[in-house]
Amino acid sequence: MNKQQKSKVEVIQIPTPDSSPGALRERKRRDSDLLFSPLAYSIGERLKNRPGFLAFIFCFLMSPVFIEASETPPSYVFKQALPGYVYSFPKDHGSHNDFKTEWWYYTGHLTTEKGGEYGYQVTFFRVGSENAQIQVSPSRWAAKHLYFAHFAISDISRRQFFFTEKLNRAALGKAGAEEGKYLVWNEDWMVREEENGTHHLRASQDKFAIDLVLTPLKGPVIHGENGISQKAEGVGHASHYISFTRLKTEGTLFVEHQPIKVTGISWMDHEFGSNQLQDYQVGWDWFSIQLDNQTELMLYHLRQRNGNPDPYSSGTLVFSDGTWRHLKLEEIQIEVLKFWQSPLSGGNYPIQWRVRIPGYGIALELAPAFENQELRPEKTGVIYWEGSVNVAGSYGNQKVTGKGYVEMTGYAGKFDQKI
Amino acid sequence: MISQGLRLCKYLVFRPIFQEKVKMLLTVIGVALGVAVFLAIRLANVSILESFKTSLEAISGRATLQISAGEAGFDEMILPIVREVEGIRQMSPVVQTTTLLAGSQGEVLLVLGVDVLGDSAVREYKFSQQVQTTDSTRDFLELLWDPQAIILTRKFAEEHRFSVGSSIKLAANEKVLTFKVKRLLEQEGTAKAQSGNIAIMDIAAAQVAFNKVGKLDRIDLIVDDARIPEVIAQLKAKLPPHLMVERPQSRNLQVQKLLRSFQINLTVLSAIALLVGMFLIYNTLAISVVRRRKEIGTLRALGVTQGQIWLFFLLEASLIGFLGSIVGLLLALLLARGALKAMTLTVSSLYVPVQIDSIVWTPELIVEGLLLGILVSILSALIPVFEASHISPREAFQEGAYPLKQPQSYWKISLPGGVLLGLAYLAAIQKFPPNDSTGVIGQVPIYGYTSALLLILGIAFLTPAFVIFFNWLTNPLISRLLKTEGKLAGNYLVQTLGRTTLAIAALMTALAMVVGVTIMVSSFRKTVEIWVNETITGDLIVAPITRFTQGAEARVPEEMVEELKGVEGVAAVDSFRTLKINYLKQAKDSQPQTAPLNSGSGTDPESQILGPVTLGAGDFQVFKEYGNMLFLKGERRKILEQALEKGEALVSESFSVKYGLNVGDTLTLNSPSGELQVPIAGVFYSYSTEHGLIILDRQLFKKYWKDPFVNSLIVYLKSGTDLQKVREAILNRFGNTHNIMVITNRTLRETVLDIFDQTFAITSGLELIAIIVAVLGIANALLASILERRREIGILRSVGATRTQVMKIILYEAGLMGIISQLLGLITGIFLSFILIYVINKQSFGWTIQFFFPFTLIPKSLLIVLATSILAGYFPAKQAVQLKVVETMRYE
Repeated sequence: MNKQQKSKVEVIQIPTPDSSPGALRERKRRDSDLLFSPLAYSIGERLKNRPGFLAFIFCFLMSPVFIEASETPPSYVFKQALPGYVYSFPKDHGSHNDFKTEWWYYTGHLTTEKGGEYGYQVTFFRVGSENAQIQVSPSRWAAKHLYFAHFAISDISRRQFFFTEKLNRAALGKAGAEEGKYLVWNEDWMVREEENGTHHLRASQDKFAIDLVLTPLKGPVIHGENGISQKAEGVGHASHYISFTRLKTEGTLFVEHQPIKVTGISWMDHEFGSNQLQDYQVGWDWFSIQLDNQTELMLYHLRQRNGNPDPYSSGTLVFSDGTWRHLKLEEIQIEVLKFWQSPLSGGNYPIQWRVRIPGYGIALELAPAFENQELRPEKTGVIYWEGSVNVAGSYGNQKVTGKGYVEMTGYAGKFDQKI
Repeated sequence: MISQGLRLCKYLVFRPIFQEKVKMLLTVIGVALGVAVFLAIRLANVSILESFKTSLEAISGRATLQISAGEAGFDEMILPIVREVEGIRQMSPVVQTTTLLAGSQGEVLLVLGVDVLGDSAVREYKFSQQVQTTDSTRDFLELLWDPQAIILTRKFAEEHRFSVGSSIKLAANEKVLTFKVKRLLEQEGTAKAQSGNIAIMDIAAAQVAFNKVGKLDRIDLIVDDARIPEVIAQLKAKLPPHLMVERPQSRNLQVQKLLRSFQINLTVLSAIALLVGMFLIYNTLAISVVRRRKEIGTLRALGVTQGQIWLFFLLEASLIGFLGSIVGLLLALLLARGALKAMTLTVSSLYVPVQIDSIVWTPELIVEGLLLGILVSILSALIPVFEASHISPREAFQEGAYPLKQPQSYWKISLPGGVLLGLAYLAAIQKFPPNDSTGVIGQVPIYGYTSALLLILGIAFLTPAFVIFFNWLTNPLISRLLKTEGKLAGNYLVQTLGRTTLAIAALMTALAMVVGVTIMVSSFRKTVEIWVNETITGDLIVAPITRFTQGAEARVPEEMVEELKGVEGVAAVDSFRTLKINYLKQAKDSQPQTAPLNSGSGTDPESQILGPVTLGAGDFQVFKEYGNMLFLKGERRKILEQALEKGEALVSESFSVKYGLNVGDTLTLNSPSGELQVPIAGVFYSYSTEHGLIILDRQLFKKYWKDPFVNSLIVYLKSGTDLQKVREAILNRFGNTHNIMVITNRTLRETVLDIFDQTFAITSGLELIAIIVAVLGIANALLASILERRREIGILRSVGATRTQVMKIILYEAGLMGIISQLLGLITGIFLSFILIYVINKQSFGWTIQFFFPFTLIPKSLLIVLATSILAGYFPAKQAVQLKVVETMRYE
């Protein structure tokens, strides 16, 4: 339909307590000077875009300390995500230790032979330390990088949600991410690229464990423009964002140590960058949608403190042939249909959406498989919602259905108290 | 029947007690002191062991297995190898250092460097103001980013006025480091270790701060009990042989073993105090029986059975015992504190740093104390009660005619006395265990103690004979000097032997103990002094300030050796490195002949450890030229040349005795680089540690242990150089960058002897108490005998003896008792010291002590004994003169 048209559409605000008319052009910009101010770091770090947990996590993790660490000059300076980066695979699937934060993120939908349905999420994070003293420490134990990982399972038929986390330093091989090749692990959780290009993913917790082989059905997608996914105003507030938007999945799901064969479909994100966000950004909503017409949609919606959606919010539409198109905020409409309050954290989350990409005639409704898919990992110290959703709607003339994953950060009260 | 019994009790048991208040008091005090001393030592021992146990448990946390390699630590790349083993649930590495709180009086702080992200799986931490309640990871995160961050216990912080945010300076090795307090721990879990003197750091920071980069001190593992044997097997197969895999409990056992000889010696000493208390009770009861012959006879005539007599007197004994126990318990409370303090100091200096603040009182110990007093009383009462039950009514009614035992009858007990002495000698010469010349490792030298006991008993049995002999010998002289009073005193002594023997024997025992231990201690001290003077030959010794608290952990980099050589006036520099290692069972040592009988810790069959041993490394060349080691056999220079040429080792005497290895035998040592077989070139005298010392040449040591550190540097100066000048030069050059001390030879010698004196300070306390108890015995005995001899005294007074003269008689009696005790005590003490030096010490610790008799002992003790005996006699003497003449003469 109107693929090329940039229609003037009203951007619908996501209702927030202090919503006010868009002041996009009047929004203040922070100097890049503030890049180096402790406060900017701590708050800025909070505001990572969706796959960028880093800032989010990093702020909790580091903020009280981070402030102190920043008081210790000199700081170790990491590389920034800048335009002109040349991607080469499989090398770029590996770790980029000269960037501060990085993660490898898998979500997917699994079906057992008997028809049981499960959603899963496995994320491996790496955060580098800005403490110059630590970076040059002779000890092998110096926490030059921290590795943490989250694993969540949504048992859809029983409407139950389980999550667990790990937090480690390299510790002589306890956790790590190889540079130059794709191998990331944290204790017994692991993901790596095999000879034949498939991803072998393993994670476990008390009740569940997964051992999956994922086959990319389309080549990697590079989000954003000019090879970077810009998140906020200013040079460097961006990341290198790579996705495999459709992976054929098969393997074993262990329920109470009983192996069950599963098949399904997954989505993989890999982002790396340094200090992506700014302090006026309070959280984000991220959507990944896989439709039965072999197209995928990625959207992220950064939310500003004043309630406006950040103009750097954007998305990507991936076509069945593997090509993709960057979507700007103006081309995206997201409407919240319903809210849900978490009984445990008090966060008031949007829980049902209508998503429209008018330029392509896309109109979809998203509803969660069940409501309580909130993660509250204590070591990491953040609270966010990440759950399996069902998608139905239309794409042009076609009726389409699909599955998706939505991630929402910054809704739980605890978030604010930290800072 | 019961009410009758109770009334009888009232008259026969309670009333006498309340009537004879003074005597009872003295007896009770005697018992109390005995019980108190014994309990105090026992409490102190238990408290020290409990404190270690608590500390070790707190530090081990939930770990069920631990991998370590002794003091030197091990390469951290072992960790990935351990990860390959199946069956390990959790694993946590540890870097452990003993530091000194700068500016304090030797306050020791144990610092644990752990992986703060994973350690709470193994150890328990409770933070003050917890951020999270279920996972303390976030509480720890501050440590990750600041290499100076440290966590203290709240207890330690409050004691030393630290709070979150303050700086703390710790001395470790040759540096003083500053840290910042980030969090505080509540008194739970790990914070309970070392009475709160424990701190936590991130492992990376600890490695860098304490010169341990690339090394670990321990890996703690959590393994299910059922899988432990297989995990151990896997680990042993994968890990190099110098690493040990043990359960945390076995480390506890090791500490117990370490301290065992020390603690047993103290316990035995304290038991002697108890023994003296027993003498007192015997005395009191015996006298009580005598005095109440008529009562008893009457009762028997009225139909009271022998059994009932037994009962009443045993009841009396138990009552005294009970009262004594209670007072003893209370006294023990006070004494225990002092004993604990003294012991803590000694244990920390000689064995392992220990930190205790409180006595461990358990209900069991209290019950034990109470029962002890009662038991002791009953045992001591057996003989007098037996006597009492055999009193026939007819005997009892013969007024005043209590049998004055004739001298001849005393030969009856002299014979057993002689036999006992013979047995004592046999016990002393026993090699222990039988048919094994290798000596003992941490086992109790039972024959030695038995021999000592038999000796004392034997002499005690011979006391009457000796008294008679003494009187026969000296009476003419005494009569000349002290006139009639003296003559009478001597004769009375012989006549009342039945009562006074015990007191004399008690005092003899106390004195023998004092003399024996004093001789042993002074012999030991003299031996050590000679050894120190002969073997410590360096002019100046340079070491980190923490040397005496950190022990062998206090290190300086070996570059200092070369740098020191450059200082003007320095002729040579020797360096010494000591390391506590565990001498391990070798695979081939499964035959009993090659391994000493008491291998392992006795209760842990998996333990490979034969015993703790100190490994030292020095420059044999310098030893040869400048040093002065004393070898048991052979010439020093030759031995050192051989050792240097052929790469052989030197071992100390105690090592040789403990492990049965001599010149020519081969030692097998497990080094990080593999097994090292090294023949023994010589055995030397050493008193620096009871656990044995092995010395290798530094080059050989470095080759296998790859250890670039030294603990102390011994500087030899060119002749004619000013000691102080060089000392200052060294301090100026290094003092700013290194936290070292430079002490003169003389200061070192004095320090060694100070430590020695400190160690034996506690024994002088025990001796004092033993003397007090014995003196009470004399007073008791005299009092009793005076009351029995009322008639004689009355007669004396009635024929004209003045009060003063009567007093003199009693006092002379007391004095004579004292002198006899002194003589007997001296003789017994000398023999006792032989047993202590040549048997007990040799078997407990393995070293040779040269006999050295402190001649000042004789006049010193004579004076003390005379003075105290006369003092003891004063009150009875007063009693004697207060007797009304008329009353005593009365016949009933």
